[in-house]
Amino acid sequence: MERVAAARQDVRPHVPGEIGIWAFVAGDLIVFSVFFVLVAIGNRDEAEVFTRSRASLDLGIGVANTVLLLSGSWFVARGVARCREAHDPRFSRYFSLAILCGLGFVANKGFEWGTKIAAGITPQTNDFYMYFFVFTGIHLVHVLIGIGVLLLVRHTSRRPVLDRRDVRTLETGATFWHLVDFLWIFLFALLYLL
Amino acid sequence: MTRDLRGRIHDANDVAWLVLMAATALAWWWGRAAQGRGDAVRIAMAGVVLTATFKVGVVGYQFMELKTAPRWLQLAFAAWLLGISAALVVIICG
Repeated sequence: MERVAAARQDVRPHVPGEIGIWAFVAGDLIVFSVFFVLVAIGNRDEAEVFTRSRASLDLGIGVANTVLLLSGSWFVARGVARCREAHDPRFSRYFSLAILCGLGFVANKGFEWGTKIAAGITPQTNDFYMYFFVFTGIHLVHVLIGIGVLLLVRHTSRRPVLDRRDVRTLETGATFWHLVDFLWIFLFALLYLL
Repeated sequence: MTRDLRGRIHDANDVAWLVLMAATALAWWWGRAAQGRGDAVRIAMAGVVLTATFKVGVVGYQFMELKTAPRWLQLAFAAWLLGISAALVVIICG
């Protein structure tokens, strides 16, 4: 009972997860901000190349991947909230669904890259495709790490009782996954939509 | 926010997901408009960036639980989001 009460206290104003994950988030935001600005400058300085190259991307794949990551974040947020409010090991299903969304993203990205490379389009083709492959590749590494993190979160959520440290583990993993999600939101906008 | 929309929406996370889906559709529409010609293209490009900014704000505020975070963390996140958004709009549309 004390453990449940301790876990519930975490809904009061507090830093979600470990403070260290927020230091990582800050570092990642700085690095990706540079990526975003580079794409924006390229879009301005090589407008014709970027517009022509962007037109060859499959917008449907970009939209599908956006829906997958947003839905994954939704499942994670629901899972964390449920586990914190009135924990039940069955709530681990939310994290399983989020993992499936992540795997769907990886498969979709693999298909997209495969069709591009089969068509002779590589990072050497032009600056747009260099940014496309490098930045979405770095993001894909984040997604793969995120899936591993969610497997740990899922394992933790299956415990019969969660103490304060377990809840903090769930929040830390969730924070990383949401970071992966919103980095993609900007990449999708800059690479597919402009 | 409980038990509305035939009991299917349970909390603010569900509302946030619906808003994000609608914003994704809006971003798609802005993207199509950005492929056109004339001054409207700049407006559409700004629309793409600002819609992305809004979506990231929703993910941070609701899913990342910044709504219950300390003030310093909320302000730091808002400063980054507004800063990168302003920089992108200036570079792309300026």
